[in-house]
Formats: sequence, C-alpha cells, structure tokens
Amino acid sequence: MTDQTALPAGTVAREREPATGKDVALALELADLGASRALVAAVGGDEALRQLDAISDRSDHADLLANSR
Amino acid sequence: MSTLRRGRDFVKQFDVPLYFVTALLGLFLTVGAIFLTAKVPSEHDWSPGEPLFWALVVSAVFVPVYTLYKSLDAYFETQDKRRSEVERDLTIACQKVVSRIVDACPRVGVNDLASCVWLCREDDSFDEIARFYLPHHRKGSGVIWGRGRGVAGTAWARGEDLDSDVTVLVARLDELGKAAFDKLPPAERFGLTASDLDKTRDRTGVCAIRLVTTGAKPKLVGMFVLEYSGASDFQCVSQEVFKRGVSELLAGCEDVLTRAAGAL
Repeated sequence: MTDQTALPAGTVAREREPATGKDVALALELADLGASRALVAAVGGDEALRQLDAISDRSDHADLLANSR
Repeated sequence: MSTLRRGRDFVKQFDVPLYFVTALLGLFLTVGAIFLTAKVPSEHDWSPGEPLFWALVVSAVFVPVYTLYKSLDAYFETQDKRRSEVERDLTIACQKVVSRIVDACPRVGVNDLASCVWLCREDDSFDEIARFYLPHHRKGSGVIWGRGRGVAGTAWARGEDLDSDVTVLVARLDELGKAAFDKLPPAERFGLTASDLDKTRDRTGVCAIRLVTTGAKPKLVGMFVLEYSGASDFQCVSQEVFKRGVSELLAGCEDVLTRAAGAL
C-alpha cells in the first residue's frame, strides 16, 4: 500500500517568519480562549510565552494582595 | 466510536465492584500463598481439584490480567486526554480564522463561514477533529468526503492547496442535468456526483489548505477546510485565507498536530 500522506518530493513545511508583535497579541488572544501553551508558542513564539507567564505572575500577585486584605 | 472505546466504556461501568473483587483476590493470593507453604489448614486442602486450589488459580490469573488491563486503560486515557487537548486547540484556531476573515471582509458574515480541520487517514478517508461554525448545529450534508472527493479531497489527491467558487460547478450541473454531469471526467467535478453536489448547494465556495507536519521530513497530516455559504465576496475569503494572519494560525495547527501525532 502506498503512503497516501507522503508529499511530492521537495515539499517543505510551511515557511515561518519570526513572530511579530501582532503574532504575540494573537497568541495571547488564543491563550485567553483556553489554548494550550504549545499553540500559544507555535503562533507567538517564546515572546508570547514570556508575556503569558508575566500576566499569570501579575494575576497571582493581585490575587495574593486581594486575599491578604 | 471504536470497538476498543466501547469495550472500555462497558468495563468502566463495573469499575467499583471490579476494584473490590481484585483487592479481595489479591489479598487471598498473598494469604493463600503463605498458607499453602505452611500447609494450613492441611496439605490436602490445597491439592489440585480442591476448592482452595481453584480459588488460588483464579486469583493468580485474574489479578495480573486486571492489572494489565488497568495499565493499558490508563495509557489510552492519556491518549484520549491528549487528543481532546488537540481538539480544543484546533477548534480555537478554527474560530480565530473565521474571526480574522470576518474582520477583513466587511461583506462576509460570521454565519456564512464554517471552518474545520480534517485528518487524512491512511484508508483515504477524512476524520474531522475540529470545527467551528455558527449556528452550531448546522445540518450536515450527508456526503462522505475522502481523498479525491470534494474540493478538500481533490486538494489531497493533487497535493496542492485549492480554493473553488462552487457556484460555477453548481451552474454547470443545472445547465447539463444530472445524467450529463455525472458523465463529466471526475477531475472536472471534484470527484462529486450530481447528487453529492445537490446536497451541498448551500456552499458557495470552499478553500482547502494542506496541513503538513513540521520537522525534517514533512508529511501531510490533515486539511484545513473553510466553507463559505455567503451570496457574494468569496474572492475576499479566498484571498484572506492565504494571508499572514491566517497562515500563522494554520502553522500553529501544524505544530500542534505534529506534537500529537501518536495520539491521533
């Protein structure tokens, strides 16, 4: 049986350009909708993950402050 | 639903009694082995054919078999969890693609678009893993798509991305009639019969984009399919779907699919 998912010779994966600020914003929107870190990273790169972690830290900090009052 | 899944769901109903029985048999196996060695109550009571002997045999078979089954079940459970995470990611990406296109094309309404991710199976069939469309319970066409059938199936067979204004094909069907349409070469009608096309008249345009695994040896893993049912402006849809805002999302889908290859 031939492999029906084989691609024509010379086919390469989709070309990726470095993530821009718009991509990071899009990745954060995806995170907001509940996307996994893998998808966030795939769309917005490492910068999106850094931003996501920073947002999460800030939110944890805000929760701590609220709970301590 | 697969036979394996049905079997696991069936056994799951008896999880609590099975845990209880296994625990008892496990306990009996341990205590029985000690008593057998110590010949308590007597050597005769543990000899072949006696009830205690058979109880020990049943325990010695049941406990490891059930333990093995539970290990396999846990493995499949993990796979199911991974698949549902992938489904969620792809559904979110589908939703975002629709939102991007609606933003970019003022005359396109959100109800006019349906986006799906179909996995390409080795038996030439598609397996829909994610979809996004409003209204949510849109009626299915009843057509079974596959390699060489429909716009996405043709894109798969030809090994290229495709977009097609389906109204042109529908107009041809109306002009020729069903019998003459079915006699056209399959390549001219996307492998569809007149009856198939009749069932999908609400679609006015379809875009099919290949999703390829990332890495050194790219492999076709699925198709991103965008169906349009608006009256006009399919051109805007077919242009936007290849632009950066959407292609980054599709690249994200490819990444997710590549990571989850074993679970799909």
